Amino acid sequence: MGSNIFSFERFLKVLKYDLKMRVPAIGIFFLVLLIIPHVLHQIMDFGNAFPAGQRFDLYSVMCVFLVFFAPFKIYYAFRDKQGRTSFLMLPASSLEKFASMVLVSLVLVPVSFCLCSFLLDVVLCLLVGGQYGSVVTVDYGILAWGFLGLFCIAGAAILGNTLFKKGAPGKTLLCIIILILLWLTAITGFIFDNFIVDGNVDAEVLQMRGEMMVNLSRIVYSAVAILFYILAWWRIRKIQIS
Amino acid sequence: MISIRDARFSYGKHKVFDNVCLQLQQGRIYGLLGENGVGKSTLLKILSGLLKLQGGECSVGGEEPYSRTPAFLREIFYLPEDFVGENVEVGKYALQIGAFYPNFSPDRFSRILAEFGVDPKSRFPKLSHGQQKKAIIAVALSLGTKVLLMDEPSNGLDIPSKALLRRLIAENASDEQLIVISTHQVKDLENLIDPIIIMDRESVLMNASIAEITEKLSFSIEQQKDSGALYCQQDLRGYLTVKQNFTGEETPVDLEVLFNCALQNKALFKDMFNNNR
Repeated sequence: MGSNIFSFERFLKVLKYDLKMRVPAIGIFFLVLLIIPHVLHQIMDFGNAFPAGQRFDLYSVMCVFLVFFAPFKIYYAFRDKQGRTSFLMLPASSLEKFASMVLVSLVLVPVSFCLCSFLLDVVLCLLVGGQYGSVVTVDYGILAWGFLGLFCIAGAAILGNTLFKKGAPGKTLLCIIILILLWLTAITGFIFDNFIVDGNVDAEVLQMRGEMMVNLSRIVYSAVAILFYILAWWRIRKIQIS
Repeated sequence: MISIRDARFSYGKHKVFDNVCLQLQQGRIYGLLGENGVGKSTLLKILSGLLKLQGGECSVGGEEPYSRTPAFLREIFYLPEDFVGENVEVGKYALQIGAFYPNFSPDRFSRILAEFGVDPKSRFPKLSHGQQKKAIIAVALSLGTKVLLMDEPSNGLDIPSKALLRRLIAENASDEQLIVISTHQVKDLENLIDPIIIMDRESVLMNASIAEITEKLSFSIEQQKDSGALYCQQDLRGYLTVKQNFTGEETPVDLEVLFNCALQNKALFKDMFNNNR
């Protein structure tokens, strides 16, 4: 059966196991997030137009929710002793189990959600064309940031699910907020340091630092997310069940 | 097949094992007995790779358990005491998990499950604790792993099911398999487990086959308390007595009496039975 570290054949078995045995746990939550934008519109803005741009924004927000909660819902068993035992005793390497977890949480579930959202959008455009107008289109401008965001959120959620037992989503969210606040505090000091020259705002310096902050943030967020993934894999590899 | 040398393990300051040595051979069904808190479940977790030894060596089929390699995991199954199944059908669960084990037999699973009277279409949460236990025992016995570790498998089973459990384990255990069953309820597994391991705080009191036990000890029911006996326990039939066997006559072993006798004569038992085997 090949290597003890990674075998593609075994990885497919783990993925199949996860898809059949674990992913159904997110079914209802998935459906709720899928219909929330439309229900919200009907409740708050009934009868008015629901433009494609607004729908895209709402679908994106729902997708962020989904990616954050996916590991907690799908791999909920990891948070109790018995479930963790079953997970660890499954005859596959920790890397295969981790890779399947990442693929499911970061790729398969969100991609399925995007496809379902798009299909539902098409159906609703056909049924209630007046309110919905044209089918939603992708805003490519935010895709790069969007994917980086999802990558970070999934990493934090996967790690949070392996670290915390009770109130895992809340504790993870709190940690994310603390980390972001720490980062913003650090970066803000740099951005606003000495940009007023002779009582005037030096717009050029400010713009340059703003761009630098954006680029630096991308690098830092990516690095932190990668660290989250490594820690989650390490946790799966080394965890003990007392 | 299983070798433990100078094992040391503790939970914080609470020492569980201190230089424990144990050798277990394949083709046998070991009964792991001991008082609450002596480390029976801890030992099973160490053997299955869920806990790491803090000192000494442990080898299961030549592998270090804590590395939890796929090659190791597909030859071992650990049945925990407090099994709670996920929200899936029993039959579907068995087929999915069985795909990871090269010797899994779906036919054997269906047969054992039918004998236990559990519907494979039932979802785990819909079953009672005892039914869930039966389902996971059926899975465990059908996987065909070389090592099967069962923690209190008879807990939660009704009386007829306990007898059935004994029969099913005996029928489905193979010569290549090593089974370790940890239990408090020795009567449940009498006539099934052999050899017997009795654990004490931080050490092993006894690791011996029934033949060795009967060779060294004799069990009888006496009407009078024998002051020269190793152990006497009164019940309605008289005094259940354990003596050293000087005559060579073999007597049936009463596991409960043996266990109590071992606890009262720790030094003698350690001396009488070679614990490092």
